[in-house]
Amino acid sequence: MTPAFLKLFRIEFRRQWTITALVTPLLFLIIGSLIVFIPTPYTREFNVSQKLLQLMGFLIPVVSAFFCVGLVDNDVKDGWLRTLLVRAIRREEYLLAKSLSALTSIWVTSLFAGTLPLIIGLIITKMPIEFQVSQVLALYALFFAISLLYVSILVFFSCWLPGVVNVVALMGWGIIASALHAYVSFFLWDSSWAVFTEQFLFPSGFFDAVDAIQNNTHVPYIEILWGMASLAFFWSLSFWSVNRIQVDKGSE
Amino acid sequence: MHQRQNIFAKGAAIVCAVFFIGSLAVDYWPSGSSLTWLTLEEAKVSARASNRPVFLDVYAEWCTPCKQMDRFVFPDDTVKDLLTRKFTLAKVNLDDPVWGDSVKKRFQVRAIPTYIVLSPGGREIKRHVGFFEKSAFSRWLGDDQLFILSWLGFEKARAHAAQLDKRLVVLVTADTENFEKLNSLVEIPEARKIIDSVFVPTVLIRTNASDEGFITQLGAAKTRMDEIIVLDREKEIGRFVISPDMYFNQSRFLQKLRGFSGNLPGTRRGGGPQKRISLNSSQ
Repeated sequence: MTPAFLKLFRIEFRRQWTITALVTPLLFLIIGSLIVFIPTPYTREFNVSQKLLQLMGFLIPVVSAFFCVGLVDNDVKDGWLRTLLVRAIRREEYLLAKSLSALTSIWVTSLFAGTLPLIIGLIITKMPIEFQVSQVLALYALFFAISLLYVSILVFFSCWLPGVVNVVALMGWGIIASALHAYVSFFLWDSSWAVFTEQFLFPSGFFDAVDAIQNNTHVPYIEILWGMASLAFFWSLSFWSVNRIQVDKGSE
Repeated sequence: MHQRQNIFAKGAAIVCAVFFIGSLAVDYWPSGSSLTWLTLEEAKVSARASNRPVFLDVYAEWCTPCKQMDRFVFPDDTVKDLLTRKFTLAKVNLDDPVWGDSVKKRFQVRAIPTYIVLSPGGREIKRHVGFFEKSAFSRWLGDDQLFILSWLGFEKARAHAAQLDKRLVVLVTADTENFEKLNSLVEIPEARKIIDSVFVPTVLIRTNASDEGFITQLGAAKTRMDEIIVLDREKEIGRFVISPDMYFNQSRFLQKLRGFSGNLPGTRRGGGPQKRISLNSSQ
């Protein structure tokens, strides 16, 4: 990490924290508190992993979308990328600094809005507490990987799509993949080609690993391998795409 | 073509390719099993001879949860011990051109993996659909204590009811997947007290070929809903569907059951309009 890269990272991080971005964690905190404190029926214990899953399962995609709207495209439009490139900053450095700052912002917000209600909940709950340290740490690590995946996809999309469309495209993709998954599960569950194809509609390796950890079924090394493959795939696409952007004309 | 160096892109693409090929190889590599599996037909013959129930595994090569069961659950010592000690093991590949379709139709398989326990005579006793965690699977395999499992077969129950001058309560269900849930209802202390004192309970399962005739004669709803039909001296005195909300609001189930029980204990009055049902014992 060069001093120029670290400086760029600090600048990018500061640029993300606009007035709106400063207020938004409070909104997420309220939502997070609702998730933790609204009692669910038939719950007889305060299960930390389950609460964490509910909180992060909601926060990570929403916060990622919030911080990654038009991530690269906005910089091309307002001339920021051009300014950086003429100062001998390499495109890869720009992309890494940009992604790292987005990731840091996502985790600052998610930890604030996701973990704070959980700690308060742990202190004030009168129910018996179910808390497995290894399970909770594994879930945090997997959610970190999921946020990294979201950032890589959104960076890739924003190299090619204008403004907020990168987030809309990701949401649309997720919804269509879920709908097709449900369709295959109900109507084509006995078709080998449909089940095989459906597994590649959305990069779900890390999500499957979260399921395995949460349900304590097995050590999800295969799921993590799939997750790593999709993560590397989208990072390679992002690096390739950022090198194809023409700063004066937008993407080719 | 751009002349810029895409070193990061190339590096990430190579990493992706390595992970992708690795995942594909590990995930779709055939998972071996140290258990001895028979075909369903072989297992039926062996089960009759040894008087042991059949454990039937309906799977497919492309089914991820099936592979996970093979990889993580079946090799477990407790599971392996239970399976080999208590059951005759049978495996049917859903894609098998000979047995796949017939097993799917015969047992109304709707998802894989499906695990079915059959009596030595071939009647379905219980089933589970989907991945099973090791300890849950062992519990499920070893659990013969369900109240429903102690119920007599239909014909025996009918004869028993006539002999004891009790009402016959028939639970009609699509398959045994819901048995544990259903059992949680009929095992509520008050429900059990009513059943033990007033009724002779029995269960008819749609996937059992021998039950089909009785189900048709009783005119059970042709849905997947579980239904209770109450007979008094072979006349129907009422029926109700076990709706999902009854599992949460058990008093609704008790209320229905009490409605057909007359005045406890043992009297046989009450119930709705009576309908004579001809039950042909030759079925």
